[in-house]
Amino acid sequence: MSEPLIEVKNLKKYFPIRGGILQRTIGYVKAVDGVTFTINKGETLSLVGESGCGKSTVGRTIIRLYDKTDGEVFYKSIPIHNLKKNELRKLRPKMQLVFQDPFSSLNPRLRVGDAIGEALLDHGLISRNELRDKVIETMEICGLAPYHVDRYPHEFSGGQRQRIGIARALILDPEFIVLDEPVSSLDVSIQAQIINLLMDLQQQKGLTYLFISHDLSVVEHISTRVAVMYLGNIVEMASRDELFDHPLHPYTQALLSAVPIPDPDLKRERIILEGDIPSPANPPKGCKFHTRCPLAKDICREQVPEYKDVGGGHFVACHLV
Amino acid sequence: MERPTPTLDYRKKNKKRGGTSLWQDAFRRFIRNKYAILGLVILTFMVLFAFIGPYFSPHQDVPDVTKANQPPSNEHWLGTDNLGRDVLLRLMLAGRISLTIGIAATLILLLIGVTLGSISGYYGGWLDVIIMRIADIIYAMPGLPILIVMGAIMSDLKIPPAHRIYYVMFILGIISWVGVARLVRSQILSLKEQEFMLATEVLGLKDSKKIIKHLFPNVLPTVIVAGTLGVASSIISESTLSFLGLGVVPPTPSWGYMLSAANNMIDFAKRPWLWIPPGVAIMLTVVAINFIGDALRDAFDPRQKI
Repeated sequence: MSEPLIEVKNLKKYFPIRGGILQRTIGYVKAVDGVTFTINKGETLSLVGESGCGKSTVGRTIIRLYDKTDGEVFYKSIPIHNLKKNELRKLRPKMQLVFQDPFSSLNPRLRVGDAIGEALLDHGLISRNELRDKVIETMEICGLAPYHVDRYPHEFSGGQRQRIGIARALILDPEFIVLDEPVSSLDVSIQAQIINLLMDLQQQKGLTYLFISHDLSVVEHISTRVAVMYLGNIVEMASRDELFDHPLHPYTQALLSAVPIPDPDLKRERIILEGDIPSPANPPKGCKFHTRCPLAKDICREQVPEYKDVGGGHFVACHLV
Repeated sequence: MERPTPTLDYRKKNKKRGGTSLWQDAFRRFIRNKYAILGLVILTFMVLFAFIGPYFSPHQDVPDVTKANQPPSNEHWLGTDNLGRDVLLRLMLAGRISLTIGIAATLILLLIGVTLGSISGYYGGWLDVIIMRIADIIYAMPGLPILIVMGAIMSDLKIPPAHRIYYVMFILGIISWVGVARLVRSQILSLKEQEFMLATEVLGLKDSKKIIKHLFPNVLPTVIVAGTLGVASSIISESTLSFLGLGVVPPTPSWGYMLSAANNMIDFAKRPWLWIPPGVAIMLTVVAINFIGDALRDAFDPRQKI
């Protein structure tokens, strides 16, 4: 089970900041600043972190929606960012993305059936005659009714639209799906339905997920492994149980202490972080977390901590571990 | 768990919902729109009136001062003008010019505006900068002086009056594409940020399909509205041009020219048959085209019921 499907090596993605009359580049937003990880076939790797820490950018750069700045991404040992346009197009069906916003991710003027089926037809993976059956079959798998096929997106609720988004990705028979906060815009009962659908699909089809989220309780439910991001870097990565039971990085500890527990009598210590997340255009020197870390020492302000394996596939980047 | 059997077999194309294309749906919505049909009927009538009507007129479009300024009568249903020409016949002949200019100038302005606006919005970068700065320059120049200069140039080049109408179309098209180009550009810019355009990239769709199925149908309503407004304003601008002696030249009539020819107190107060008919003709045409445009815009909106 542990053959790597996706290998990410020191991936960087900087967005230029333009300014002045001539619109020259005057700096960079270092959205992703050197992340390395692998995703094994059939597992769910979750990427968690605050808003603006670069989670979505990682997800989008992996499938080359954005061009990388540096580093490399391999899909089954194929360097994705070196592919030509037509080679990339052929590979597209294998790597799909489910968007966060189910409202803007569907074309309002395209019938749902067409939206789901068009890519299959465009890639020549099916004949026009078989298309409709295949679309309806996929819609049923995703919990949509056959009579939905001729409707337009505005006739659906948020949860149903997200199912359409999943069906659109799934019909291409992908191996790898990036789930970019797929449930964060849905209400809680619908969240559970979608998460269960995703987990069922993973079991049936052996899918591999990169699950991007900031909701740790959902992450605990769905993940095989979890990676914690802070300001463009992965600060800690471990198997789900290891990370939730023995978090080593102070940032992970703070995040976990903020997860609400539905028990009003339970008293526990919360680690409250001071200040805001620093600007990714001008990140702090040394350990990027030192400005907010309750345990920061002198070394943290000067040296970038090494991202090291502390045993059993538990990686952490902290001087104090 | 068993699903209740659907009453229709959705594996076949649902006949009740029409075909699968937006165009068929749009056509269905369009022909069910009363205003659209009314607009079509009026416009068809105006076209037949202008292009076929003159053949049924017993009169000739030649001056006959002995019959000048007669009120409507059995012989001249809409009276005669100051040179004794039949107003009804001139109204029909004028319709040919005004309708042709209105529609042709609009097609030209849409062609230029949509093309440049799309390129500007879709590709961005230095192309966008160049196109938009040209648009700014044209926008900043007052229209009337340009028209006067162009009219003077045309007179100087001794362009025959019969050909002037084509130049008028071009001039109107060239000075008014700016608004459409800006509209289309901003529409495309906002569409490009929508996640469904990003999704077409993830799905690996061909560029042609991205543009035809995703970009174009969402820009269409803007273009339709701009087009309908364009027809109306072209017909009216033509009258300005004619008034300045830059558009069609007498004796060729146009609705705008007939209106402006009646701009003195005597004609206005005592001879309403000179200016009411062309005014009504312009109004009917513009209203009809606006009805059609509105109906088209609604027809391409899937939120409207069929």
